[in-house]
Amino acid sequence: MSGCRKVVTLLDAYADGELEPEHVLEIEGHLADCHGCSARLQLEHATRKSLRRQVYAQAQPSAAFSERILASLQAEAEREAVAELDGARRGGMLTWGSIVPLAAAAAIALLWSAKTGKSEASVHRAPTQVAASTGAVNFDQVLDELIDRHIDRSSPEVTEPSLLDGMEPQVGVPVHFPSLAQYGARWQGGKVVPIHNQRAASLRFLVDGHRMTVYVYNSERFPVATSLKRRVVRNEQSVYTGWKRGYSIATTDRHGVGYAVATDLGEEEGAEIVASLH
Amino acid sequence: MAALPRKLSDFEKEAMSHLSTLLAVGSRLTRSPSEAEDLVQDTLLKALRAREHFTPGSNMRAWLLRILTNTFINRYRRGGLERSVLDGPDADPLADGWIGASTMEAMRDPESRAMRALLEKEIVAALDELPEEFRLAVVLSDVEELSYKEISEIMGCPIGTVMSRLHRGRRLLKRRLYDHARSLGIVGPEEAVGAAPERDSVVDIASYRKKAGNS
Repeated sequence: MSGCRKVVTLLDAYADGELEPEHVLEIEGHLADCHGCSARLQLEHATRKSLRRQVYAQAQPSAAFSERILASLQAEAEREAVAELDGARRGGMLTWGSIVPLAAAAAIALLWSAKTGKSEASVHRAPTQVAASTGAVNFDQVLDELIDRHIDRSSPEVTEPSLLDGMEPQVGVPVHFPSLAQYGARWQGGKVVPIHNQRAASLRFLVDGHRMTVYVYNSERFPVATSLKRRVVRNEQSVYTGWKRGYSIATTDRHGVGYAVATDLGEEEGAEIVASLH
Repeated sequence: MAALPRKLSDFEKEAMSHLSTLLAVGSRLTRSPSEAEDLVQDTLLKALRAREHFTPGSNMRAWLLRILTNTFINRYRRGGLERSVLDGPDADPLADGWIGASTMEAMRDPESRAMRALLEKEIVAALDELPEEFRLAVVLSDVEELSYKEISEIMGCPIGTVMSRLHRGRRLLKRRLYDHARSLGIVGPEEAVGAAPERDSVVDIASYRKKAGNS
């Protein structure tokens, strides 16, 4: 095929998502017709998939290594702090570490006071009970935080879906890559974010150009839902939805794992997607 | 207050969250697990000391990878990354049409959409055989999925150079995998470079089926 030579020179940039839109159409037209070039592209994708998997599989940080790094960072930071005190160079300036210890202490306190035994979303907790069990959860504030994290544009920590499992120890519940391809959701990446002094996994997708964040968290530690509207979607599942600051929020709970979806899509879409998570 | 046990700072926490990335890239640069660990430790200590130069909210992973690359060059490669032995633009004999469609298909696993398991097992070894410049470009793009611009900043070269390193690195990598597939009998011999793809396909499918039937 005469166009192959030209397409081959553009195929790398196409696979890398770095091609100008006018060339993209041209290439996609050619790929639809040309078996050879589409086999080349598929081999390219296959190579990358295997490469990502194997490069990570063959270089997992051991626990001993992580501890060694942590210890050396802390030693360096302490050395710096001492040097700063001695020199009194930067009087009055706050450092990176000044706020974190309080938040961490609060998180531990919540962890110990978390109630056990209740799980299903259908057993709806009264707001007063919630306040008693977790130390005055201000639900509105939790929603605000979910939205703040949703609009935050910082880059993800994890882009390899198979590595999401590694968030489990931090989040305290299993974290799996949700398959949302049926909703046209394109995976962007994930990170662990603090929500209401707890840690939640934040998984970012793009749906039709709209940003969508899926949160996975321990629902015993911050029950979401109290001020949202309850609705029942497929398989009789209870889902709570509502709007805040122009974003729709949908949430549900399955066996103690909480899921929330924040998006600028509508309430219906959010409810549908959150109900599909498990 | 000074006696309180120190908790991790935000910076340290975020830096630690990139540990597996740094170790993965560092391992492919050094090709040695213990040297990779030392390189990552140096990198994070340098990053901690230079944290005021990091713009909060920007891509910390790319910033750390730039420090990792520079640390590697300063420590092991005073003269810069090891260059390709194949000099000049596309002077190597691997013309783009050298491999037929059915051969490319035979190297993939249609179920997992990855390479066939036997080839995937060899992929890191094949990557490690690439010259450093190509190897790093391929890892930053294909494993870390960074943009050309981010890679050009990390490697300190123009975007055009990134693209040519990627192109040639990927082609060399596929060549190695192809050779491996040949030695395993997964694919049959290719016709001469530049042969008509249609003819290749017929030959390949026949030989592949024969091999598959025998095993």
